[in-house]
Amino acid sequence: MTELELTSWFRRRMAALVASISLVAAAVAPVVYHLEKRAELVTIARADAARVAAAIADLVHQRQQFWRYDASKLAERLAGEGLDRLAALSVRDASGRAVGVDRVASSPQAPLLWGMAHVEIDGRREATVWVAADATALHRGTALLSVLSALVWLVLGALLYQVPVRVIARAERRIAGLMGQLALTMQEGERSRIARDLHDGAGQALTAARLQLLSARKRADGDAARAPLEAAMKLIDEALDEVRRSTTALMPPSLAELGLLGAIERHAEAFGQASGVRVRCELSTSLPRLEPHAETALYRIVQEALTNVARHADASDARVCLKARGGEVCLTVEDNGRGIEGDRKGGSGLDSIAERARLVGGKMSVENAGSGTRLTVRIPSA
Amino acid sequence: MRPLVAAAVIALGAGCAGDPPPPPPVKASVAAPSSTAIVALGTGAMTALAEALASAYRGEPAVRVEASVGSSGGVRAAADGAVDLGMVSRPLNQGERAQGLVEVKVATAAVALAAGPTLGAAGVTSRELVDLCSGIHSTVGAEQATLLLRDRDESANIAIERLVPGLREAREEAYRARRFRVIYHEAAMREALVSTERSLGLLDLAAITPPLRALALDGVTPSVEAMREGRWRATRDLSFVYRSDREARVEPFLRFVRGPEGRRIIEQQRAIAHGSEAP
Repeated sequence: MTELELTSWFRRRMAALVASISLVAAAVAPVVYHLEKRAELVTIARADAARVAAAIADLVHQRQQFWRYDASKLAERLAGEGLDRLAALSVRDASGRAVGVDRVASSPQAPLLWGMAHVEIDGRREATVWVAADATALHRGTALLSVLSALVWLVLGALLYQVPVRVIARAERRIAGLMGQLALTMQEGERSRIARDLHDGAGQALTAARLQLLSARKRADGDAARAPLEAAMKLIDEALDEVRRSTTALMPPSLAELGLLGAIERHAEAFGQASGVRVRCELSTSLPRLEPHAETALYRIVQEALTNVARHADASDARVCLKARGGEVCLTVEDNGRGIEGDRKGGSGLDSIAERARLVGGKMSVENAGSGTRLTVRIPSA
Repeated sequence: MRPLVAAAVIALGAGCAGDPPPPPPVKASVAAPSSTAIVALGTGAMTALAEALASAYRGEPAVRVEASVGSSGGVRAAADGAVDLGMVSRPLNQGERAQGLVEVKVATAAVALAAGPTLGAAGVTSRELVDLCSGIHSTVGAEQATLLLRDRDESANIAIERLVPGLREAREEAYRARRFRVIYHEAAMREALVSTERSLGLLDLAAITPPLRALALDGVTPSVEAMREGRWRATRDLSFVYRSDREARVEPFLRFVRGPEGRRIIEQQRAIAHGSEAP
């Protein structure tokens, strides 16, 4: 079963979305601050320009055409009224000539914001005044606020990203678990159906055939007539035994009746009798409670692993170990056979075991141990 | 929605951007002289004298004296050709001399401390003046007094500081502390002295007429005689400056100023006339 890949899909989209939101949000505060403060500075500069323009208008009234030659005294007067704090001042008469009051910014590199005002007398423009405000503090404030805003939104963005991603990841794990349970349930259901069909179909037919042969043997005269009938009955008995074994394998006694440990011990005993491999069980009695589908998966894995031992290991002894370790249940099946070659580590039996383990959120590993093979499955406990 | 937001942001940004900076200044072209009169403009220290001379002058064109704009303004106006004669009450600085103006000294005038009508003191000492300017005391003799300052560039300050050591530093500190009212023109100082209670301030001696009184400084009463005798050294030279291309135009008037009639008028204005050479 393929993984949902929901979390990775969501991560990519959340990353882009959160990055965009964080970028925009982080920019809002410094941009708004900059625009507001800049507007404030411009307003102040324009107001100062208007004050200077008003003073020049008075001068024009007093000195008329020669007002521009009195402007230097005006500049001193304005300085005395507190306008010496201006970052820069510039006055041009109607012809564009300077009138001797220009003051330049103390720092040539200082960023300036200009405010302008006209001097108009009776509808006639006599002069234009420019006043500059130093925007250095504004730029510093904007830079500082940008850094702070970026830091804040870095943290908030990380939270905005992590929280839903974790929720989705948790949901995905839950869905994967449910899908695994469903798969196992469906598998078990199919096994039960096949076991029932075998029992009800082939088993019944073989039993009926045996009865017919038994009746025929009773009626037969002589050993020559009875011998083939007895041979046929023997074959049917063997077939019936095989049907029973298959039925038992497909539909084992309920784990709810024997428990996981009891079911494993029963199977190990039956396996040992059938295969001749001595199986030793070391099953911890203090295992944490597992979900039913997880117990079923572990039981099937033991079945599959012992079947592999019988088919491929050429072993005389096997050990089944089950214990709890660090929030996990660890199942180990070891044998003293010929070990596993590199290119055979991925056989269909092992694939089936790995798939079962994955369906319950676990992992499988297989390695050579001594002369034999060790198969380990770890699944998380509930 | 997005175009609206974008338009709003652009409009806000444009509104906050401020006004465009000032353009580079246009170079002044030389103005043409007035067709009706020889125009004189500059220091208020010379205004009364120039008006008296202009009034007595009978030549053509007549001379018109404009309201005070200070020595610096007079020099610039003359250099621009906006006026025929600039009036200055201080030496020209290097930059002004480099403009190639012709300077003609006409008189030496005294600068004195003038007392307003409600100030009873007859004189002040250098120490009192420095302390008054520094804010250490606010009395002259035993009387409360209010000092009215002239603007920084005023030549009268330089003149009086020859007599009063430490006064320049005290004055600078007073400007920084904004301790006193600052008056920017001679006529405005006269008006302020008349209208301000128990006030004193610097004026040209010729401008100190009733109800104002000239105060003695360290026991020396300012007068033309005291100037001649060297007892009163708070003086400044009064000069006309003009462009060389206006020489033919202003020469007749200047000849008049340096002649016997002009010298008499200068003496009447309580100043000492300078040499009588033709410009």
